[in-house]
Amino acid sequence: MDKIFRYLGQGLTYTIFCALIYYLSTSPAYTYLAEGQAELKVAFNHAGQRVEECRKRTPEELRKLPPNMRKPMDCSRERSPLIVEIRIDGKPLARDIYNPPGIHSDGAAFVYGKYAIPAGEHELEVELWDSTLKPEFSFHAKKRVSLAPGQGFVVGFDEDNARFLFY
Amino acid sequence: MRPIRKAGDALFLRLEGWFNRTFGNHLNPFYHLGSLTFFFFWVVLVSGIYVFIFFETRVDHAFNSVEYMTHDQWWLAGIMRSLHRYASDAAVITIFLHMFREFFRDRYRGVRWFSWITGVPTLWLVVLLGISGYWLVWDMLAQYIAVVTAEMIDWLPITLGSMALNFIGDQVSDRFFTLMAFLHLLGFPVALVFLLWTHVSRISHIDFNPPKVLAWGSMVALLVLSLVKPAVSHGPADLSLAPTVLQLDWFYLNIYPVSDILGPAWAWGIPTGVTFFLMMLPWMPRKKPEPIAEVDLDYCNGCGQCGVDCPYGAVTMQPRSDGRKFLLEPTVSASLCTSCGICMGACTSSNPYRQSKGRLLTGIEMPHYSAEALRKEVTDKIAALSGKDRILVVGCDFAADPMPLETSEVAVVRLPCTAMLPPSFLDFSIRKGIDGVLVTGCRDGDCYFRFGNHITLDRISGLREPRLFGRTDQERIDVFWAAQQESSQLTDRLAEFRQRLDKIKDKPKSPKNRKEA
Repeated sequence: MDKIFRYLGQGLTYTIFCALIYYLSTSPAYTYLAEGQAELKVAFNHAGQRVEECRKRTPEELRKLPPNMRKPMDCSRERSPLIVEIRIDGKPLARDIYNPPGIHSDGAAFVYGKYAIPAGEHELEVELWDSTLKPEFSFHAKKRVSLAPGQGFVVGFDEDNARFLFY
Repeated sequence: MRPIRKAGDALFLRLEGWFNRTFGNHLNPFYHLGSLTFFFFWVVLVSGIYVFIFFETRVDHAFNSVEYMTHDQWWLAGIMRSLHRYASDAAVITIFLHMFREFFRDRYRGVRWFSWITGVPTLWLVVLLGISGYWLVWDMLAQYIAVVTAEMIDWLPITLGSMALNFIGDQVSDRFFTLMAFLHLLGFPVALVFLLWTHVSRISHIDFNPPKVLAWGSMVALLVLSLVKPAVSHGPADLSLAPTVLQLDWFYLNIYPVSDILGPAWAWGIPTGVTFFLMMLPWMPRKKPEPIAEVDLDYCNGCGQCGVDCPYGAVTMQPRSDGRKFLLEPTVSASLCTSCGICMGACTSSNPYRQSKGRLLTGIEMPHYSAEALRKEVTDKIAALSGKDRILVVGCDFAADPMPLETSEVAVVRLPCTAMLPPSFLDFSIRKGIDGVLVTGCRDGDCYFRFGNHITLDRISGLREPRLFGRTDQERIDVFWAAQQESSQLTDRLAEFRQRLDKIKDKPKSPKNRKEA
């Protein structure tokens, strides 16, 4: 009799062990994107403008430089941070600042943001400001989009043609 | 830290008590957590090799190959896949139980710091193995893992480019996927094997395999689980879709929702903080250094029994350095010695009948509790006893406290480990007038110093050197193992022992020779 109880106890232990494994390997379920929502991603690389205008070196300045360093233009390395603004149906969704990487802040900034928005038809507006020398946004795009629930929609930037991409 | 340890230890002892009743001491899974983890890794390895035969390491074929295994060949590859997942999860459970148990039992500080410290990075490797495994299925869960991992890596100030951009667009590059496959199939497992080897390198007599019954039981349980609830994938990865509801494996993927909800800084900060905390634990507070065993070559014949018995490999035999005729001599490593004194109990010269320069000098002993001090304590306590049934109780510091048993008829000697007691002391005590000796220590199968209670029992039973003298009346010796929470059982056992002694009170206590005994 004692043996039977022992075996039952062992069986119970293995059952609890397996139940724990199964439960925690699948549950509780995690909702990444709620029902009826779509995901908007803004992702691209872009180098901001230089924080100062390039200046033409005078002949005298060029003469003082070693021959291999006589570049006609004197440009600072540091680049402007990027500001990305997104509006959905005229309402602001996000305004994020991306600083240029590198010790001298001279690299291309990596823009990455993801936002859950209700599925359906929307007017999407994106703006990019990339120069501290300019008072207004450098790039602007507006697009009417129709998003299905669970759809991922990406806003990128085409560096060659200097315009936003939607895909 | 001490109250936390004590509370945790009490909880574990209670749980283990229940498991002892169900499984028996020798099959108690709590006493085999390390070897069970190794067993689960074997299951993961074998099932993983089988799954790899059918797995396509190309990103556009990976999902379909896993689906083929799960549905078309469910009767073997599907089971193997499920075993691969569930054994990995089981390993996480045993790893964490093992870690908590060693912490609560205060077996992570002092000379044990090395095993503790080398165990911590294995946690990272195990988690990385799990994450990379889920990645390879390339379903929606894998896509989610890939994207959030990329976001977390991009957050670190070490990358020049962006990893997350790899997951924008139509398809992930095959090369990137192959890199992940390489890490999961070879990189992480090799690193894990190396770390595990380092983790156990300072412990001797390691048993890597759990008892067969336990291994079979676990295997059958995982097989049943694999059949009843086979592991399945989410829908195929599609970068134009966003994951919605995910059946996360919380054993391995718990950090991803943290990154989603609180941001990558928290997702890195929490595990880094926990790792740092775990690494610092052996010094919070640091265990007071204990004196290590000392060798006296004048009384050592180089038999090597101390080296054989040492559970931590702290005593090694080296060529003799004093010119005597013996081949070997013991050397004690200060960084490995846990001060258990088992070596002193193993030494044939730790014999209380010996006299040398008026003292009992022995080949290897503990400086803070020498064989001479033990003999004096035993002699004095026996001399102070009165009454009709005089009993000596020899207990250990990490088991049921024997001190409350002390009365005018019962003398108690407490040692760091019961195996510190040379068996000749039992004969010596009886000859000094004691009616019986009750030896008690940690719960069977759960010695604080790993093998103390086994070694003690083997010596008394004559299965191990130094053996109890053949002339010693075994009826006058009782052995009872009891954990800290089992003091009442120890009291009951003493009462039973007293009754047994009553029955043999007329029997001569000290036969002159083996034949007579």
